[in-house]
Amino acid sequence: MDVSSFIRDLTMQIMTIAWLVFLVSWAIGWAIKGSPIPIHRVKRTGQTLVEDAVLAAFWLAMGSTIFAIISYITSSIYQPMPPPPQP
Amino acid sequence: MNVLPLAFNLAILTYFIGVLILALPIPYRQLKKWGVRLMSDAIIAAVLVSAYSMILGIGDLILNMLGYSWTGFMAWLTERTAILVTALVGLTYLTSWIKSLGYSLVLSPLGLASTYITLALSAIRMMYFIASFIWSFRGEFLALGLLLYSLPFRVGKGVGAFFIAASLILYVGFPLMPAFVNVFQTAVPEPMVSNKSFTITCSIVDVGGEPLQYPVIRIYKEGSTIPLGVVKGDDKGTVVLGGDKDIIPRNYTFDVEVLFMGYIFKPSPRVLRILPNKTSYKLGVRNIIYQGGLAILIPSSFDIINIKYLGDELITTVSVLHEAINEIRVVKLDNVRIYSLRINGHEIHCSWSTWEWNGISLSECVLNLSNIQLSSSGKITISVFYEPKNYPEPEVEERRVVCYESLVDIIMQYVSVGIAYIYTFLFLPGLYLAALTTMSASLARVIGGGIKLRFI
Repeated sequence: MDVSSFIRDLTMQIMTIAWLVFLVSWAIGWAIKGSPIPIHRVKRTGQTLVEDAVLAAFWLAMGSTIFAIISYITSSIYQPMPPPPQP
Repeated sequence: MNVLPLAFNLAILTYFIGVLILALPIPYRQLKKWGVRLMSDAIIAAVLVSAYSMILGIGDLILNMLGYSWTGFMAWLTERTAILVTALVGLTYLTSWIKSLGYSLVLSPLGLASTYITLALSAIRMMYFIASFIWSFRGEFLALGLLLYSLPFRVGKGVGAFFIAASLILYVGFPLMPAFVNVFQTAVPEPMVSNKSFTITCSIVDVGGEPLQYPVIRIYKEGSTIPLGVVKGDDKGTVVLGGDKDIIPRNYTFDVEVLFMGYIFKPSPRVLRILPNKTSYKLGVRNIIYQGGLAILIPSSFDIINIKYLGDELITTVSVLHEAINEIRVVKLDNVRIYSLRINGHEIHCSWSTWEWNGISLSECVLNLSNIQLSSSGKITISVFYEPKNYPEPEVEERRVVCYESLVDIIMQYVSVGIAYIYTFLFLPGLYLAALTTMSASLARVIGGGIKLRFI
């Protein structure tokens, strides 16, 4: 296994973990938000966790697309330059 | 291993690590911010990795727009190296020459100049190395910078950004160095390697205008009794001063003595004035008549009326001016055979005394003219019939002429050349390199790098 494939595998694992963490965060967020605790700050923390989790899920879903778009745009912008001079 | 896909994968990994941190069920705002920051870093890194070819192309585009090229820069460096090597060779030559003259005491300023020039040469070599590295490996340098930039948690962001900036700034900056140096440099003096163009030829002749073979001249500074130098001539009586053997300033005046056949003569003119546009001088020795290994030495109390050089016979007619000194000497090489020696037609029998002078065996006969019956006209005719021989080269140790005034001029010239070279070849390019490094650091900050590693 070379370094590139190792990094790709690692990325996949992190992506999987990130989805799981999103689910856990979302669930915890709702749990805190819906808990019968009459403290506004606690409810607010639950709300924040849910918002962050949803935002993370969005960027998680958009991840591959974002990098594909970057590659596409930069390769289409680049025009070949004149060759470098020889010493 | 292809570095760019690796850097791109690292950027993606960084992005997902950022997302993971953002998704963590930990309600700590700074941590969430760190996640967002990692995501933005990853996107910037991905853009830079994708723009690899564009960054390389930008360098060439800027150079083309400015009208400078690496070809010109390399030629400029080669020219500079050639100038320095020439100066160093000249200096080494001058040093060894002065050493051979026995003036080792004055070598320390030259050593200083040599150190300066060597230092400048080392600087040029270092610059050549850096420039060649940038020119040959700027792609790899940029890729390495991108790889470091893409590492997660901003581990190599600062260094990576600096590498990316340096690969662009140095690539564009090095070809502009000649323009920068030319603006600030003073005129680079050309060192005087030798004073070959300044040569004086002295012809040493006897009273009849015939050359004295292998004359030795002794040169004094005007008014001094300590000789500046002793120089030997050739078989045609020519003594060459200057060239790469002597250091003689122009517009200088010397006293000269001629040493020949064991005697010291005062030539005419005795004082030699070195004029800027005169390179040939004739020094006449008035008291000697010479031919083929035999000389007749006539004191000033006689007036030389006539001389005949007949190959194997030497005839001269003199008249007595005053009778204070009435001796005429005949000096010959010891191996010269005398067939007859006549005064006013009368055969004279001489008693020859022999001595050695600088490896030459000489014989001498003193003719006392007080007992000679003068002719009615009062003239004395001396004729020597003999077997002529070639005069050998005397074993005189030469001491070439070195005038301290000129020597100091040359040394100071070399020292000033050394200082000018330090300024032009070391200080200005060094300053420019420092400026380029500062620009690279500034651009690195723009790209997003800082040397500080900030985790939150």
